[in-house]
Amino acid sequence: MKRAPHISRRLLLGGGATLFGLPFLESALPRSARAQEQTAPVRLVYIFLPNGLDMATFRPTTVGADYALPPMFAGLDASKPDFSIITGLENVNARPDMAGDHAAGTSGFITCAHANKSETDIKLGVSADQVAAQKIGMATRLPSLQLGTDGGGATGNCDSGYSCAYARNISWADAVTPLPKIVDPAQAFNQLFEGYDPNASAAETAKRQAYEKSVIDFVLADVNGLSPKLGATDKVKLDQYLTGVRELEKRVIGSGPSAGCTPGAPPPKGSTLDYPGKLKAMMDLIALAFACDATRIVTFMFTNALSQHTHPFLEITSGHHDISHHMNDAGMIGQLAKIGAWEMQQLAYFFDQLKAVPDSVGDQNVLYNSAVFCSSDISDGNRHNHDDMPIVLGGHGGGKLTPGQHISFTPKSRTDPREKVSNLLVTMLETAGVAGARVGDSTGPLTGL
Amino acid sequence: MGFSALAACTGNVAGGPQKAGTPPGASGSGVGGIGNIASGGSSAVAATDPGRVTLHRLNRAEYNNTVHDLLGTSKTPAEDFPIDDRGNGFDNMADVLTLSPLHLSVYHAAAKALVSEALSNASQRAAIMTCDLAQEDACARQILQEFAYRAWRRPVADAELDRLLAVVGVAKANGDSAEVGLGLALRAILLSPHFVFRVELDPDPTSLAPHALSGYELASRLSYFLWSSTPDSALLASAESGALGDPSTLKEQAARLLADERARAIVDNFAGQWLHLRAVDTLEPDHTLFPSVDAPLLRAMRAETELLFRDIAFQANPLMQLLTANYSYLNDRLAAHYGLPAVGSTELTRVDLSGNAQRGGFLTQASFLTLTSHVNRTSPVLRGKWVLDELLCATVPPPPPDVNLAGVSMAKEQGLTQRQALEVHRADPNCNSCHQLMDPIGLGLENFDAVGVYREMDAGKPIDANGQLPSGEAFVGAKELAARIAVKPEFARCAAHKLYSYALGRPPVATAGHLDGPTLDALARGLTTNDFSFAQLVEQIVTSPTFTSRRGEPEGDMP
Repeated sequence: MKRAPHISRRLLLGGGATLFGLPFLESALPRSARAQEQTAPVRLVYIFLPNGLDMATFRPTTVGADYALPPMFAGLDASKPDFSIITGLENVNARPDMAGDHAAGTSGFITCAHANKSETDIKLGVSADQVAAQKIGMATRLPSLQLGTDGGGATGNCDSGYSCAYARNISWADAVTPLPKIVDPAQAFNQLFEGYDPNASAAETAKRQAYEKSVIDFVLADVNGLSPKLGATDKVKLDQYLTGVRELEKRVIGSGPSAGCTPGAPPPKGSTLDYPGKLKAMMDLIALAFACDATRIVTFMFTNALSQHTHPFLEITSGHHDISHHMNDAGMIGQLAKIGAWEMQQLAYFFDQLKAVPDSVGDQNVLYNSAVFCSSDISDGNRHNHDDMPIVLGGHGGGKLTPGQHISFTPKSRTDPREKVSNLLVTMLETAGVAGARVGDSTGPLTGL
Repeated sequence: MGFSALAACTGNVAGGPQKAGTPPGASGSGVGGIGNIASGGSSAVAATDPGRVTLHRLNRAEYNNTVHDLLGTSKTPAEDFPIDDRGNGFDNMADVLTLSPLHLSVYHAAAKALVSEALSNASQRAAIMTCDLAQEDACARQILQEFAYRAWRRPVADAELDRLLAVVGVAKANGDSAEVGLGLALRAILLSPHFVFRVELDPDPTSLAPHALSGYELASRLSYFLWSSTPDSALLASAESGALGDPSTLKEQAARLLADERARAIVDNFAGQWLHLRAVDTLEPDHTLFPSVDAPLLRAMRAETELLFRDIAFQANPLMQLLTANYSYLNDRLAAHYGLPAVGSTELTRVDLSGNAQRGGFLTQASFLTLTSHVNRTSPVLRGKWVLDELLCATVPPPPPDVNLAGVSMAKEQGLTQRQALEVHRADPNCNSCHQLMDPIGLGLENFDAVGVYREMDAGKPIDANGQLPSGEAFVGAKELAARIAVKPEFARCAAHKLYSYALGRPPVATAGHLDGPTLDALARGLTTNDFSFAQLVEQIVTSPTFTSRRGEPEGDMP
């Protein structure tokens, strides 16, 4: 540890004063788990944007470090050294069987796996964040955290014969287990910091833990009794239950954040926030989670596949998905570009929050020690293509990434093979110390990032 | 499996009615749309397979209703649970009701809050504390036995009770009262897999041989179908005595449950999803175009259809009246919206519509008409697709990418009627192959605007409400369309299919030898011969072998 860590005033106030009712203790960091680490951990974040992006205003005109920010990134000069724009990568497994690009593209977003087309027979693959969570997630109170802004529409089929599970979940623990997201900032806060009681004595804490353990031991015995009496498919469900109990056990019986972090007051309920307000609250919460080292792996969905969100604050009152089928109409493309530019501003805000958190190990900030993947389920909303994916890669990966570039993987000729999104995800995992991993159709890490 | 879309929409409907390949379930052919799973008539394999329902996690509605009925709470903890993913349009499909660590986390928090409330609220407490806890183990044992019986919907084994008492003992060992320990044990009961799942056991988990469900398992299937909630004491008693295994008792219990107020769940959860009513409250018609449409009016729109459906589910009105009823339920706001005389109440009041040429039945109700419109204009395409999807179970594939979804709205801006604008589709054979099935249905509903107000002009020109069904049958206007659909065998079969899938929590299976095909045949036949009685459809479903029995699955059948 090189210096006394602290949480900057910028994080406290920039994140909204209501988030942090209590003063952050100077002595709060580092946590005991982290004190033994010689280098700062790399955090992994995966951000989903719906309906593709306007590629004309997303794509820089030149490659390399000297590129000029394209229109979608207007005004983000201060953040430019901290992210790269990546074009030309393909996610071939995100292509659906016939129709269903949005569901297949969302489920394939960071699994790079091909969804089994079915309303009820769900089969996919492990997502990159869960590859990481299964390798390095045990270091923190929550192995990973899934966040979003919308649970999903109330009725109807989600997309062309694909179950809603595919259209709403980007994080998958295994081929049959989607990990739903928390869409209420207050609930996410509880998930991160529940059980924290700064005033509890050691004896009180020990008793609470003994009580929680007795409840959890009881249900674990139930699982053991039930398992031999179930068929194979039922056992899969029971295994999902068991995994959940194990994580619960770790969270409620483990030492909790009281070992060194004062999270402050919870954020407001999601139902009191509009869409931009909820996005902001969630991004602030991710920064707080990293500051408290409550988790190191987060997925975050702006709405869901096929979002019909309106953007009245941009004076856009048509549904987002309708607009994305722009049919080269200048007016609709203009609206789509405007939404994209606003989304990039949100991303820059997020980068600012991470950058404002000094890391407890080393002399860098949390953004430096992060790798943030931001993309969509498709490339162009009108073409529904899954090649040439629009990708922003934020953070320095603890020094293993070289942001500030436009990196184009677009092949020289049409017949050349395309480089894969999955290989970028593998490269991200390597920055976090997860070496030799596979994600979907990956073949190995990319160079030049 | 279990459905066939109107694959390439190649059926040349214009060539004549009821040709082979005519997609939405050519009548009597036994092939076609989702409601038309092969009956097995062409197959030599005798149908004996009742199928199996995967371990069913309580969904959000089921969890809330269950803790309400179990504890008397007014809390609805599942509102904070993750949204349940849907399959086939319903959120009670067991295979889709997966579990994540987040679920365990919210169950843990809910159990804590529910038990804390139950032990501090006098009336809730009295229902649980049936003896004096100062009597120590004997009383704690009694309380836990009674509570776990109701929570787990089955008798509790002695070994399970011993383990629950051990949890009570942990609190006492730490110097706390027996009541603190009891609270912990109650939490354990609510966190248990026996509570959060509806457990159905196979005596031999790898055997394909069908076996009857236990009485308790059957009781849960029945109550979660009709109440989306836990069995009551009378139903559990019927299971305990073995009487529920008798079809006549099973029918009596089904009728009793359907007559109970808790059967409201059929309206909320079945009709709410089948007819998309759950989404009505969240509609946001363009306020500048439709300034009178606000939250109270949207609530009235939803309630109008719900009340119509209630009469079908609980008042023995034939199911076809969903489409053809000559009455409705209106309040002053909705009556004004429809241009009808005020009813003199903010409550929805029954209004006679016989002789009314415009209104009567779901297809003339603002709920349906707004649900199937864009925020600022009608969509004959969406309306036609909805009718095919939900009333005839004929799934229309979505448009290929790179299509001009904006074309119609641009045409509208040029002052064309919907009919003229949709001619865009006719020009492109790729569009026309499917749109020839959808558009002519929706065009017949053009007398209703995007919020269901009756109109005679569109874009300054008189509306032509001529329409056509994929079978080739022509009609004029919503009421004639409704009358035609109501008598179609495809409608009966589709309605039966929807309720059957909802009842079982799984989609029907089309494989040869599976009982789903013949069961659906029988249900559809039953509807037409029983005057479209919803209650008789329910009775037929719950007494079918796929509802009362199940089988294991061989090793290696893992997903």
